[in-house]
Amino acid sequence: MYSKTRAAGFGTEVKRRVMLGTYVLSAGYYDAYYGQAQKVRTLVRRDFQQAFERVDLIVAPTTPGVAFKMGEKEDPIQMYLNDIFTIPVNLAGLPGVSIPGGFTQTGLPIGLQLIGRAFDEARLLRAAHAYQQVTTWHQRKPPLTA
Amino acid sequence: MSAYQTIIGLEVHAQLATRTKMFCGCRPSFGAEPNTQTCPVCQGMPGSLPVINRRAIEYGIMTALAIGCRVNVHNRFARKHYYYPDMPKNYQISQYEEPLAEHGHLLIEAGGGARDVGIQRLHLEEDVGKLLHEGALETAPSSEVDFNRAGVPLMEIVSKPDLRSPDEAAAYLKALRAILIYLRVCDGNMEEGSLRCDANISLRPIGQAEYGTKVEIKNMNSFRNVRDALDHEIRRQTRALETGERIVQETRLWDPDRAVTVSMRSKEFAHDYRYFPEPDLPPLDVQPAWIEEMRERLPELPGARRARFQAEYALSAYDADILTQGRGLADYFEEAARGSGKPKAVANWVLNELLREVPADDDRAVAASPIPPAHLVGLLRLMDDGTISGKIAKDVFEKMVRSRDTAEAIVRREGLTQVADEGALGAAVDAVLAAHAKVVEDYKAGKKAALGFLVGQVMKSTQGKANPGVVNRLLMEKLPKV
Repeated sequence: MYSKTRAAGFGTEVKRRVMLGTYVLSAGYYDAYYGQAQKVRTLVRRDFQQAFERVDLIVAPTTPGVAFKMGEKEDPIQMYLNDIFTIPVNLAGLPGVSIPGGFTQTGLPIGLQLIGRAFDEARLLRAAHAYQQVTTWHQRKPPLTA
Repeated sequence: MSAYQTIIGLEVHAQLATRTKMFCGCRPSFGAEPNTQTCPVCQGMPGSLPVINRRAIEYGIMTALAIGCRVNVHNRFARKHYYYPDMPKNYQISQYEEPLAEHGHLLIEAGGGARDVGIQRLHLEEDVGKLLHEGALETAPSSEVDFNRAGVPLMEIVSKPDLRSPDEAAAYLKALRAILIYLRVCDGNMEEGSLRCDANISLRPIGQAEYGTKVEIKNMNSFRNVRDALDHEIRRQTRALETGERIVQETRLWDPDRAVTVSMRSKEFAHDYRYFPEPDLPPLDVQPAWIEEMRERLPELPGARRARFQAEYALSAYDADILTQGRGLADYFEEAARGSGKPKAVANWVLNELLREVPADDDRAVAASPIPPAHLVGLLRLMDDGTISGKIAKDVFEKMVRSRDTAEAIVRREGLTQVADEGALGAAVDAVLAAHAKVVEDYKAGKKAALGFLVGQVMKSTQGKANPGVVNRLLMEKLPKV
């Protein structure tokens, strides 16, 4: 009964992450994976801190590519890479906002990401608002054709 | 003499007597309807977030200071994972790498001497719920979960493997329990599970430096159980070692009905708890100023108070020990001792009479005692000034318990005032002498014990109200004249 109820309702990706999480915290693997990952996170955080000594905001694409077709990408690594620009912000504990930033030649929307200092949400939102005062991307809709 | 030395370490879990649970505002009330003292946090609902109970930390700091621990400035909570239906989140918020306090010691008295036992660590965590089985676990058609207890603050105190016998283990538990009760951080009730104890026990050949393989014993919910379970385990392990059997590292449950320990799980099935820092709680810094504030709030602890009672009130070690078992009882004693100026008499009355009515370590019962300290002082005063005899005083005490009245009120109402008036007593003495001519003759013939009988008769005829001293003197005066 335990294995049935524990498996029911969870998709492949969720189960994969449960497995990964269990594995990296297991006795004997903690230092090699979880402990190491914490150190990497500290480096990521420091990197952002250094950047924010010189700038108030960092601008980046929200994703490395635009929307792909349903089922087009199956490989989990490819899927994870899709989040490569947003995950570091989470790891560093920083606020970020994604706003419409334009369209490709084929008409797909492009996300523009603004990243701010920790607890500096006010400046971040002011900047995002200022951007939308001088652009109209957020008022346009992509054509709903394949 | 056994060829083996016993090594014991205890893990004690104490439920903290806070008004709310460890990480939410629910009440930890014992005996409430199942699942009425719960909320999304202690039911482990997704999206709910824990908040640390400040009072629980303070209770932890106070306990740590009382057992000489170093309080760690940097505190972290950690998730401890295991799967059991009484635990709503499938992990328990506990402390792992940075516990609240470490490196303490506790003075115990066992085997006629005092000894320091090392304390490894003290940390805080949350309790789990309770499973209710319909009938016996094996045959129950269903089991139900009550989450009222889930999230109740628990303090775990781990001793070093410094204990050498079941007696020492019991003495350690007793000393620790007395401190918790004095600090009023835990009610110490082992039957109800507010105080729980697990033991690690191993044997090693005398002279060997390394420890033997240890076994963990659970489910010992009384002092008696702790002693019996450890005694049994020593016998079991001794037998195993003597027959060349290998001791398996495992967890065993004490079964008090059959008086045996039963294997629960071996090391191969030991849990991998997969601890990691609780991301929902920020690290907690315990500032030195906070620690000092708690240090100032510490009451006089049982050991110190016991020593002072012996010195200040000239009490025996035994009397002082019992009188300091509860803070409430010790306070009661001191109030009455100071009020009457007769500490020894107060000690006797408390130990011989009051403790028949209230348990020594139950502060609430002592506070609600039918005889408050001032009433006991009043009773002693009546004895002192000769208003009542010691014998009558015992009766008055019983009546005070039942009616909650003062001794003065009872003595007045029931006319129990001792009769010392020589005229009135003289008549009673004459009557007794007249009625017992044979006894008087015996007395005159040299049977001195007959005097006691005559005193008794006078006391009887005055319903015990006669002043025994006066009766004695009158008899001595009158006997030669009969």
